[in-house]
Amino acid sequence: MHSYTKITLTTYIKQLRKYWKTSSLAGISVVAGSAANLVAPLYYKKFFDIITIADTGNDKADALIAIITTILILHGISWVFWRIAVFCASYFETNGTRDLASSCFSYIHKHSASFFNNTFIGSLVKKVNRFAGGFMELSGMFLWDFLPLIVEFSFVFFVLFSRQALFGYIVLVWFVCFIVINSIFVRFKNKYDIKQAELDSKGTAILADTITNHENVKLFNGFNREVAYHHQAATALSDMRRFRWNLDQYFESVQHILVILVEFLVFYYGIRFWQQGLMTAGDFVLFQSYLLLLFNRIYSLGHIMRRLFETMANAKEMAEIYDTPHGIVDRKKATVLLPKKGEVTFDRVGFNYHKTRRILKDFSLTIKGGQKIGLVGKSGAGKSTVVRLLLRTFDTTRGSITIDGQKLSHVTLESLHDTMSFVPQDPILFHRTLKENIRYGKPGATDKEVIEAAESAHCHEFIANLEEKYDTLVGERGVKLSGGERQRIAIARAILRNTPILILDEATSALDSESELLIQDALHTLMKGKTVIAIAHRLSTVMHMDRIIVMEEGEIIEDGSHKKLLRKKKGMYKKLWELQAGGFVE
Amino acid sequence: MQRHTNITFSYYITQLLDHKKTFFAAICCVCTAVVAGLIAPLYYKDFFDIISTAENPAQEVTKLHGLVFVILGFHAIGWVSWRIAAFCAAYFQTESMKHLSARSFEYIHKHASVFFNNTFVGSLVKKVNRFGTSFESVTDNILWEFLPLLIEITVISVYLSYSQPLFFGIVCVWLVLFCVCNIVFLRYKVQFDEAQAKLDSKATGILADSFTNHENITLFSACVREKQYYTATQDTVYSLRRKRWNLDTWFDVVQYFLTIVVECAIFYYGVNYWVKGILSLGDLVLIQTYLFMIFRKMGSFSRVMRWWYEALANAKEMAEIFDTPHTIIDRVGAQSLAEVHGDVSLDNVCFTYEDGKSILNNFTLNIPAGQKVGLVGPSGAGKSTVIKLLLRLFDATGGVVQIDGQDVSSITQNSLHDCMSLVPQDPILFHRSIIENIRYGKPEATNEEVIEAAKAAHCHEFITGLSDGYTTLVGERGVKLSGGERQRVAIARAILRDAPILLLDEATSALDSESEMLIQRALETVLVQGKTVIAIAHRLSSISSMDRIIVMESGGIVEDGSHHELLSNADGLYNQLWNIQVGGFAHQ
Repeated sequence: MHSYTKITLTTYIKQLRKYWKTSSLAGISVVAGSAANLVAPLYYKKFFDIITIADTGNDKADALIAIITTILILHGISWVFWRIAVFCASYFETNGTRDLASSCFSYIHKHSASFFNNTFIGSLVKKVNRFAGGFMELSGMFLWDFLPLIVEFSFVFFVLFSRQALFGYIVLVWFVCFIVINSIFVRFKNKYDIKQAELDSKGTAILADTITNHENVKLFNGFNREVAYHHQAATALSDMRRFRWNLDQYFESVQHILVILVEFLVFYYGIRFWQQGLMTAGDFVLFQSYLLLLFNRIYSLGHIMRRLFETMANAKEMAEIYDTPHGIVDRKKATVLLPKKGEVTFDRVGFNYHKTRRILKDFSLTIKGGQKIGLVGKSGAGKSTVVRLLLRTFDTTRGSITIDGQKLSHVTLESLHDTMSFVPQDPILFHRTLKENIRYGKPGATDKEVIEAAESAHCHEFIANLEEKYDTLVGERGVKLSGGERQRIAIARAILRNTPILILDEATSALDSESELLIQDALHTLMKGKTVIAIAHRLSTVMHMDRIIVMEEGEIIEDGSHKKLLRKKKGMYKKLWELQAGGFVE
Repeated sequence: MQRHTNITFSYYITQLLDHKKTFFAAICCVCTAVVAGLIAPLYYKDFFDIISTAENPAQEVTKLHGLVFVILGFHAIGWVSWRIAAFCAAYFQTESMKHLSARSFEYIHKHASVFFNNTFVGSLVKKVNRFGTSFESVTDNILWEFLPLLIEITVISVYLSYSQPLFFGIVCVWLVLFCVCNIVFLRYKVQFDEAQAKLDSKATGILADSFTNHENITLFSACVREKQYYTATQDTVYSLRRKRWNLDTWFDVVQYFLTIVVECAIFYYGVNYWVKGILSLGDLVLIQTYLFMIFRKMGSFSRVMRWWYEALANAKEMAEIFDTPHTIIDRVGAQSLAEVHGDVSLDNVCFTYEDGKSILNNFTLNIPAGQKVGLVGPSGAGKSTVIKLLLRLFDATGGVVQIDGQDVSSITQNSLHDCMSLVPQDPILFHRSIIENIRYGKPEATNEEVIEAAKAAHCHEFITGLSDGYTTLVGERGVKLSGGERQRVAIARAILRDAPILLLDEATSALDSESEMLIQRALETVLVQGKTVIAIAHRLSSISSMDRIIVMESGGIVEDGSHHELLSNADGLYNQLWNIQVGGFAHQ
């Protein structure tokens, strides 16, 4: 926890340094503004002193008017300073927050795929926003709350001690009591805050879960059960919330009593001092206005402390991410990959998932440039891992992978990804227009090229039927399109990208039989002259490949053409083939 | 907007009426406390009057001490009243928030599936939570801001108009100016607030979209492009925010200026009056104290108003949902369906989406109890719609859907759902333990029954491999399980439920060939015995052994018969589909 706070603060301070002119000007203005506010009551005192000792007269009135003018000027000065501070703050806070958001963005995106697999997108977004917003919150708190507090307290103590030391002591004791009680209370309360947060997220989770499962709730007649379950969670939350609020109330009661007591003591002893001629009416006014000032500050202090802790806790989540090093990075002096024929070699590759689960062990495979291979096998056999390692979304645990003789780990990620196209089983699209999504494969492509690619991937047919054609927005993740349509967009994107190596992971699984025929046709165009690795469950889609690799438990158990593998009695491929053909060729 | 605000208020007021006693107690206490706070300065006035005019301090000390104790007394009254008010508020606010969230929960779950298809889960959750917290904000505003402000302004105005009409005039002019400025400014600013909210959610959308597409960004080497895009949006967000803040500051400039002017005017006239002997020192202090109170309250007035509107705007989203009537409800006097045999019939059924897209058109199909029917056809043919109409997730726009001769819309939804089990293509699970998820089909099932069902559905193998066995939590939606594993859990649930009608919507599509074969066997031996079955499938091999196969195309039945009958029709769609699928396998 502590190190995360440190990361957060150092990152924030870096931003302050970057905008040091405006941030320090804001700080200075706040100090000057608060000071001017504090000097004003001294003139109020003078004002009342003159009134009490004066025999009514016009010369006194002039003196009073002069005092009022001074007060007006003091207000004016503080007014100017506060405005300067606010303008400066709005400049550096907004710019700093923007910069932080951008740097979070690029740091997160440099993380490897396994980082994203283990994190919810929604929570990532929240973390970025909170971390960036935290800078605004924190610098705001410091400027508008803590800095004035320090200035005011030191100033008031100085004045009180120089006028009436006793009052100085009273306020000092009160201040110490307040701080002690406050810190004990905050610590005591913390466990209940955590408990409430837990109960709160539990209630929200039940709500979200039942809404996601609304169809189950309906069809299994679970409504009353769920209402009872939710009610139970809501009651626990509500009881805890009330308990916490009441706790706050007890604390505020004590605080309020302390305030009343201080005011009472000041007046009570004030009378005595006045009787002895040590205090004037003006002093009463002065002390009263200072006390009010301090009370107001301190009242909000508890609230501000809570916000401070919240902000730090919120920022911590992003600091944790900053503290996690990127899993896959270019090594120093990484070279640019120069593709030639597109020959891919796996040399005794081992891969363990989460250190414990072994997926691949001594996996060796050479794919000649331009060869088209199909990868088949049961789920969990390691087919997708082979592809993932080639894309370097994971790093191998042992062994090496080379493309045209160049080691994957020795070349830059960017040049590696530029040599291959990947069509996944369930392609995800940007919530942008169709055209932008297809063009993503080749940012400089003309509209004509995009449409040509769409035509050969058989997307053009369905796109032309949409109201806004190529300018249609596809919805989050591409939800407005069916699975098959998304696959066709991904294929169009790959056609446009036109890289020497092509990887297909169940690229046609979401299509019904008719569309699949169309796509097979599109894929033929796409695969021409390329090295191709295709994963498929349905063997009919890979039977025409040059070579078929059958995998089981991370190893190659069969390797050869469709015909060759079918000839093998008791072979795994033959068994799978018969299983799938079963229904059809009885 | 107005309509939804009214709905919000009607819900909130119901809550307040449900907790009348504590609510009114809180109001009374706030009034007492505020009034006590207003009376205390009157004694301060006396105090200063005595100090300033005292000839002989010693004689006045007891009187002054007396005054200080009176002031202490009023503070004490204030203290007690504020505390009581706060405890009462804590009670009725927490209780009401609980009830509001329960009402929202119930209302949302009674909505039909269409409602859920058109809404994001996250946003629904947010709406429910906000509806509760808005109640807190609204009542907080009333109790701690509006009510005290109202009392203070009234009492102070009354006092000033009687004792110091000139000052009353000054304060009045100031108040009017202040309010006018505030209203004009708030109106002017609304456009920027709205623009800001829009930009904010746009930026968040881009961020979320980029994270979702993380893999695309990496594989297309697009990190730099994306960062530029994101930074550009952030730029507009923050320059607008800065503009709004600066606007606020300019407004503060005016407001603060007005306040200083009033303060000085009052001092100036105060001095003049004092010279003429109309005002005492105590009066000056009193007026000063009252002014200070009003200034402070009014200074936060615009912020309080903003909170108020924000709270109402937040609550509005849930009020909109409350304003949407439930589309599928039990008819008054709906009967329970008892002793179901499992005859299913759709008679001239039509179904059209709200946007006018017609799915089914005069669709007629009779399935006698115990028959096993396969539904096939290209995507969009209306297969899933048939199942949804049977489950009454949608209401037919024409025609009658019947179970055992009874119209599904005339029987209770509970009894209708009790007689059917659905195994969907992509089953969603509760984020609870696996055993709870399987038991969902039959809440009273024993552990043995659950395990038996799991064995029959071939889940037992993978469940025992998990670290926590049957008590493993499955993650949101069931993400920790693969698609095939979720399908098997859903099948186990259906086995346990043992309803007379079984609906399978691509129930084995996510399984690999071997598991599918095992499951198919399990289905044939355990699940479908003696039941009416309707199964949708793309892979024809998985339904070819059904009693009867219905081929659908654009919302109508084009073929109907057994596998062999349909195959013998050389021009038929079924034959055509079969040949495409056999394609790869047949010509070896």
